Amino acid sequence: MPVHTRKPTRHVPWRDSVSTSVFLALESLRAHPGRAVLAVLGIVVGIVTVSLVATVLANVRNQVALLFRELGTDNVFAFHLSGDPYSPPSDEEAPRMPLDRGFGDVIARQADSVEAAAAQILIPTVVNGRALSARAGSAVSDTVLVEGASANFFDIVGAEFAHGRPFTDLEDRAAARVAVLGASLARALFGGDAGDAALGREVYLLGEPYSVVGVLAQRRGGFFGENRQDSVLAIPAGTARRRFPDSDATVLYLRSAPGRLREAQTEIETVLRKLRRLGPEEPNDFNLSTSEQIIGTLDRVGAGIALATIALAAVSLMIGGIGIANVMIIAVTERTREIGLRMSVGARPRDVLRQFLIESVLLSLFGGACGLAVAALLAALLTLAVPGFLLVLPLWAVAFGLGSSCLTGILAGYLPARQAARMDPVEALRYEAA
Amino acid sequence: MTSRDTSPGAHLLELRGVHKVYQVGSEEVRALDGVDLDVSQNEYVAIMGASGSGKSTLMNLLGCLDTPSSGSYRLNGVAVEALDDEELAAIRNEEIGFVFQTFNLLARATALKNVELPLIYAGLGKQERRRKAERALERVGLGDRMSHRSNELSGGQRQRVAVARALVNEPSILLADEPTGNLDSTTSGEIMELFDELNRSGNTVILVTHEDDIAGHARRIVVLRDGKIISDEPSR
Ligand SMILES: Nc1ncnc2c1ncn2[C@@H]1O[C@H](COP(=O)(O)OP(=O)(O)OP(=O)(O)O)[C@@H](O)[C@H]1O
Ligand SMILES: [Mg+2]
Repeated sequence: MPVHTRKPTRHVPWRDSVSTSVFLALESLRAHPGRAVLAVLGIVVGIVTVSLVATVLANVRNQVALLFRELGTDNVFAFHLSGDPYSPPSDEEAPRMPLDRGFGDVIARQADSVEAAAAQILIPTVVNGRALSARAGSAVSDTVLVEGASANFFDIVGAEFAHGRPFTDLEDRAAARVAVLGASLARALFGGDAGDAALGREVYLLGEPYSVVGVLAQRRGGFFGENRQDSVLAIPAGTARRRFPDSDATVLYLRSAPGRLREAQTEIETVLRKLRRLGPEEPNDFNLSTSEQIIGTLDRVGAGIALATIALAAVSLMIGGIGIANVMIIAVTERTREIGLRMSVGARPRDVLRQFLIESVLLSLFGGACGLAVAALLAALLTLAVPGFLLVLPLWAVAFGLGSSCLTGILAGYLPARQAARMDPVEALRYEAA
Repeated sequence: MTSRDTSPGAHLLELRGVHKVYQVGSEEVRALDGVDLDVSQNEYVAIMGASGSGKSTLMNLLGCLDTPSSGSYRLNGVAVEALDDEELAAIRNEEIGFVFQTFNLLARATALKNVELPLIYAGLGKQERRRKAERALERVGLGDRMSHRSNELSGGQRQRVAVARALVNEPSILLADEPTGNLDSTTSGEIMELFDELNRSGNTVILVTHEDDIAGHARRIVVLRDGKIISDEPSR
């Protein structure tokens, strides 16, 4: 008998499977564009949501982190309430007395690790039922943020002056009517390129004139491009106490010696407890924080949002996967005869499986790429719409988008592809489209 | 063509007591009911018979698209009924060239791409695929239509592409199930001339037909009825 020799396994090069599958996938995309759009819609939506939320989140986090770091990474902030100083206190914290401005100096003297203390007095945006506004000539600003500041405040929080100078101790003690303006406020009141033109001019607050001695440089951090500090109208703390006697909410900025931030926090706590006459069992009736701690809290919130985003992504990718699987099932059914033909010329089950898997992955990748393109576009639009808010799709978002759509393609395409691979060639060739 | 053993008892293909039974509901359909058949190399066989007599079933078995319910089928000395799906696929790729009544081309692919298909599954490189596919298309007289999509070709031209695809990998047997069934008589004649010529140059050809004048091209005519061979004679 002649012994027939066959190569035991044939190797179909990946490049050929991919190029044929690309060809066929493009063909079916072109033949049924509506169906393809439906199929990839879920993936597109999923990828857009995830990459955009992730990008915005990362960006906001960095900006906000910058905002807090600008208040000084070596500083400990002391306030009688926890949380946002401009929000009303919780019922539990409402009875707490504000911190005394003089505590700052006591702490600086008694706490070895504290180098200097500055005070900031917060004036509510609404005083006596009227929203505070600042006026210079005919220009009015309603978004002004009035605060009292000690002479060294600007130095301690690292605020840079574009023009002019900070207050002097004398102006503080004498409750002089002088003011330092944030960059945006100066622009709003004295024009775009005010420069040092604002210096020496008068700003009216509740009908009283304050003479401008300094203009601050634009701040770097912010929330959606906004930094409240740019709208600030700072007056000496002593002046604030006299002009706004009802406003006594005081934030102490305590600068620690280099590398001694932890230590400073403990020492400040000890001194403050003594000053507040707290018994050993009583809890603190004040709150200490550092910019890193605030950022840490922020990051925990951010992590929660990120987790929710991932869950959202999983759900929408799953829906997207169902869309892909559906189209693949239709494609496999429609192309039953083609599958039979391929088998009749020597395609093995695994060749057929591979072909449909590749098609499914291509379809998903197409959806993922569309999603990324839409996300990039939206990011660009957001960047245009919100000045100072620069959004770029990070590389990891692109990698994640393509990776997860690839995975979705494999998972969604597997069952239809296996169905194709398991077809009986004779049955497949006899198949008549319904 | 490789030389093959042609000593008695060593045919290119041998069927012994082949049955193919389909279960339709509670009824058994004996599509093939004890078929013995030997075909040697370079034979030219026509299979005839009434509709439902089992011709296509037989061709599918010969083409290793299907396996017998019982009995044995040796192709080139290999017992086909013992092979698994992978091995059957390999045989279809290397030993069989199948031509269908309905052409079965990839509609939007070019003639060249259609003919290259078996070579893709043979694992051939791009250059060699192209070279072989071009030669096969030239052999069927379509040297000037290589880059036409198959839905831009006439029925006769499509069937030529299908024949080129069947012979591109130099198979042992060419099988054609009613290859002229969808063609008019002139085009049928042209396709049959193609088969005649392929047989003259050494190919083994087995085809199914309803028409006597088509069968007349073959040198041997096998007639089926109810799944059995009722006559097996040289054609006049
Ligand atoms: N998949 C199947 N399931 C059930 N019965 C089948 C199947 N395939 C074929 N048959 C039956 O087997 C018998 C032979 O069918 P086959 O297709 O081989 O006939 P044929 O000779 O090719 O007919 P035609 O000339 O009409 O093409 C028929 O009775 C048919 O109904
Ligand atoms: Mg038939």
